[in-house]
Amino acid sequence: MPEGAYRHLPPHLADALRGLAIAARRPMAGAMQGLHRSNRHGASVEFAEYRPYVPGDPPNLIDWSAYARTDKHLIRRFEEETNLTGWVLLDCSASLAWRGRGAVAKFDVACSLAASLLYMLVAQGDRGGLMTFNERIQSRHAPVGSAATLKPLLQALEDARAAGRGDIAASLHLACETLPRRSLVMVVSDFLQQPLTVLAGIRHLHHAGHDVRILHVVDRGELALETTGLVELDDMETGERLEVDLDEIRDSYRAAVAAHLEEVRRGCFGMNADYRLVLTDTPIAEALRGMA
Amino acid sequence: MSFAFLGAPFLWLAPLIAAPVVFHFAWRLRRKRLSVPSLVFFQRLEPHLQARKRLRDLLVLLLRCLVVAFIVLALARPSWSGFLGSSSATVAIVIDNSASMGLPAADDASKTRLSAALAAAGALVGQLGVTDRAVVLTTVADSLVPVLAEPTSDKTHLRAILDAIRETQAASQPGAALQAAAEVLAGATTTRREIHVLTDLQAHEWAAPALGALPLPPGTTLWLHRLPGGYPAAEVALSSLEVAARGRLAGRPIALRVGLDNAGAQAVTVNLTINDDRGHRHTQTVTVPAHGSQAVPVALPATSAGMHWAHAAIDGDDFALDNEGYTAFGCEARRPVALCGTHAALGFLPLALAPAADGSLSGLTTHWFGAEDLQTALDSHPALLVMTWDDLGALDQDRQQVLMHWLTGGGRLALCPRADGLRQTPHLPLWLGITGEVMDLPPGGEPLIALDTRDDLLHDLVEADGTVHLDAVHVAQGLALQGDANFDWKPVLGLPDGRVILAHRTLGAGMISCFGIGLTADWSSLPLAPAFLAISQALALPTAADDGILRLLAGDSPRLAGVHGGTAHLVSIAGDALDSMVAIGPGGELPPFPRAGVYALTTTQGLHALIATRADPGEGAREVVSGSVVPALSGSPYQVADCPTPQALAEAWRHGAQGFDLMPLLLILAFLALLAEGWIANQPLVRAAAATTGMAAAGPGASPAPGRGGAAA
Repeated sequence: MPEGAYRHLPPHLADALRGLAIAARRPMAGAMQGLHRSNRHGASVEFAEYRPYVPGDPPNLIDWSAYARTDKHLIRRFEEETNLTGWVLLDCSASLAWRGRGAVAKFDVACSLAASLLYMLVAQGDRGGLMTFNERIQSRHAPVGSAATLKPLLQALEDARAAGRGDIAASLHLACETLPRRSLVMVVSDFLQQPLTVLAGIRHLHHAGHDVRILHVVDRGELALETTGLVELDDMETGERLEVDLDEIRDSYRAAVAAHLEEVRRGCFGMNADYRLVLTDTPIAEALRGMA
Repeated sequence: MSFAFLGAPFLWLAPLIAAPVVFHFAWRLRRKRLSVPSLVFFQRLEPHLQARKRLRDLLVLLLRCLVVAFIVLALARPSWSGFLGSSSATVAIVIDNSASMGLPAADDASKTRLSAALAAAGALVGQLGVTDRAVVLTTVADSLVPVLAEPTSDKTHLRAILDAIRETQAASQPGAALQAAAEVLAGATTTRREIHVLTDLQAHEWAAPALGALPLPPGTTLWLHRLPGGYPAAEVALSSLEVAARGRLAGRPIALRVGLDNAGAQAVTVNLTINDDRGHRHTQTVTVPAHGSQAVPVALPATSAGMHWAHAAIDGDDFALDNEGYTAFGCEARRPVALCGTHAALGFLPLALAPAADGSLSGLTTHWFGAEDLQTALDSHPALLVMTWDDLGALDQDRQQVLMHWLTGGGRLALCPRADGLRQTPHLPLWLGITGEVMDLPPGGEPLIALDTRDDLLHDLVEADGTVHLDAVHVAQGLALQGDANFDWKPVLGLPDGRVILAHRTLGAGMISCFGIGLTADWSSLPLAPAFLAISQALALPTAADDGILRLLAGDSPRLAGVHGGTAHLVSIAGDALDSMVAIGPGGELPPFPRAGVYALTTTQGLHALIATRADPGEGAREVVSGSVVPALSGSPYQVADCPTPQALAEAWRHGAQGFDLMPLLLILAFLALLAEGWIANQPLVRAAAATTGMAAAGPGASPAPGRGGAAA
């Protein structure tokens, strides 16, 4: 399949992504030398710390200038730099299929974000993997490190469909069990679940040492709820129905949405997880700017 | 205690109570379907949003229905009498002033039931409050009793009306009285409406027929206060007063037939007195058998032409109000009878028609004429033209035409064989349609019998059992009449074998009678029998047509034919004094006459009528409605109370005066329900605290800052 055939990563988007990069903010575990800080100490130019010399350490590691200042045998440690393995966790639950006033559905935006992230990782010499989930992990694509090996992942995104009930927290817990070593984990979802539950899953990732990035895809229609009058609401995931007069609850609804977004954002902030609210009418490249 | 709706027609609006439900479901049909990514935000608003909404909708719906229900109920004006508070009342006091109320009261034989009823009604009037209003009505309309156009609180006026009430000679008309009471109460605005009827509940007035559903206004309580009393030991009523329908001619005695009924268990001897307008007085003693009737024929002396009346009264029994009656009748001037031929030819017929030639006994005068003077004879408008068969056969064609023309116009012709002639078949004109055949009878003759006892010619001879006795009249010779089948001859007298001796037929408006025997003793013993007198008179004097006189029972409401509305001047000629203008109903109805009398009525259109009334003979009856079921009121709610002494009735009134109008309470409840509905309907389904839990101060448009924890929007 030619490169330009990917709906979620059209050439103009790929061009726009060329100047962008993704950098890990926590030490990553990598197999090869790379751009990113490793969780191990090793040979690099990045000073890490001093520690006392203990018998068995190579004597050439003793920092003699420090000995001259402190009269102690100290060994100077350096950060090991390694390559990055990033995992894109894409929410494929039915709620992503919703489209408000915009031209595209939330799932289209989510897929474009996932494709872009994978592309950015590969382009900067890192490796990127893909997991899709709804109420459990639906597919797992091993990390790839080249443009050639990226194609199956992009094709998987092309074939992906938003369907089924979603359980973000459970899926994140499952993913955490399967993700190897410290990784960069980028969760793309609409996070339509109770914030505390969702944050529990994110916290699990964080505690596992992953550098977690949250991309929260939201349609403006969800925020505004502009339909009027008595309606029977139909939950796209559960099929549950609710009869309500929207005019009566609109203000409360908007407040509830804002509170939900704020709660998720604050939770991510508390876990040092990067949080990005991506509205569906926002250009993808702009949404991903500053990921470093 | 009783519960009633004063505005019951508004209860027809009750289906409107369901209107909110209908609108609710109609509104739900208009709802839209909307797919949303998730209901998580709505559940965040309120976890039980759907349940809360359903509960709120149900409450709002219930309250809206309650609002409508309370308003409908308030319009229906429910009233709970005998409970809490007091309320003003409108009362219709209906006094039974029928003749039976003149019987002795139960507690005091010196008083009548009516006086007891009036005392009780007076006590009730005395209990009326300042805001209460009342009207007094009678079960027999009586012009002596003032009629109130609307209820009044003027007790003096009400007592004056009660004082004016007297017994009548009529039977009660409870339907009309209650109808009038209902109409009065229909316009009342008070919450309490009552009808108190003080009556003896005499069976022939209250047992039947059923009055149907009375148009009682909603909330009206109908009380029947029964006034028992004593009964007369000897009770004879004037049950009928009839004037003979035939032969009311000047100079001719008027036959009057008086019927007397004895409802008691013992024979009663009474004095019957007959008076007439000429001052004649006739008195006789009559014994009426127990549980039986007695018909008393009376011949009023001959009088002059014109309208007359007669009054019959009895005395000697213990109840006087049903003992008298009046009748009226008209008398015509004396009429001539034209006789063609000779005394020998016509036999005894002229004598039977006019025993006194001047008409002083029968009202008929005789005038003899020859066949050539037929036209002259007919010009005198005779009551009857008598000719022999031979004279008729001898008339020339012109005279026969004149005769036919006269008959067609209403003339009456009697034909007989010449009494002095031979027994041979005469030559009769064909237009007569009858022939005679000489009979060969045995030496002793054949008995004469009535072939049709219902024939008008035999009317005065018919006994009570329907038979006609001719007192062994025999026919020795004669001609058997054979009428042409095309001319509808009706046989009247004949022989046992069916041969006809006397027959008649009509011709236009007139009548032709034909004898088959000469009217002397040689032919038959009929001219010698008393029956011959009656048959002969009947030949000349037909049954009187309706003379236009209304003969009624007291209490009857006559109807004037051809009169629709207007007024009439009513003047009594005899009996109950009356001189007033009365209103005529749209169907010509006149108000009832409460007492016996003779009245002359002149309408504004110039119509004159004579009305004679007599007392209702049923008012002395002992049968009353006992128990609490009154058949005449089977279609309406009512209550029966016994023996209301004035004190008891006043006490019952005071008890019933406690009432409670629920309309204000219902309006308040409707208002409260409306307030509650508005409050609940405007209650937010979502608790504000739940909607904003954990939210800093962000509105729907507020976006977190970009970067770490920020937004890309």
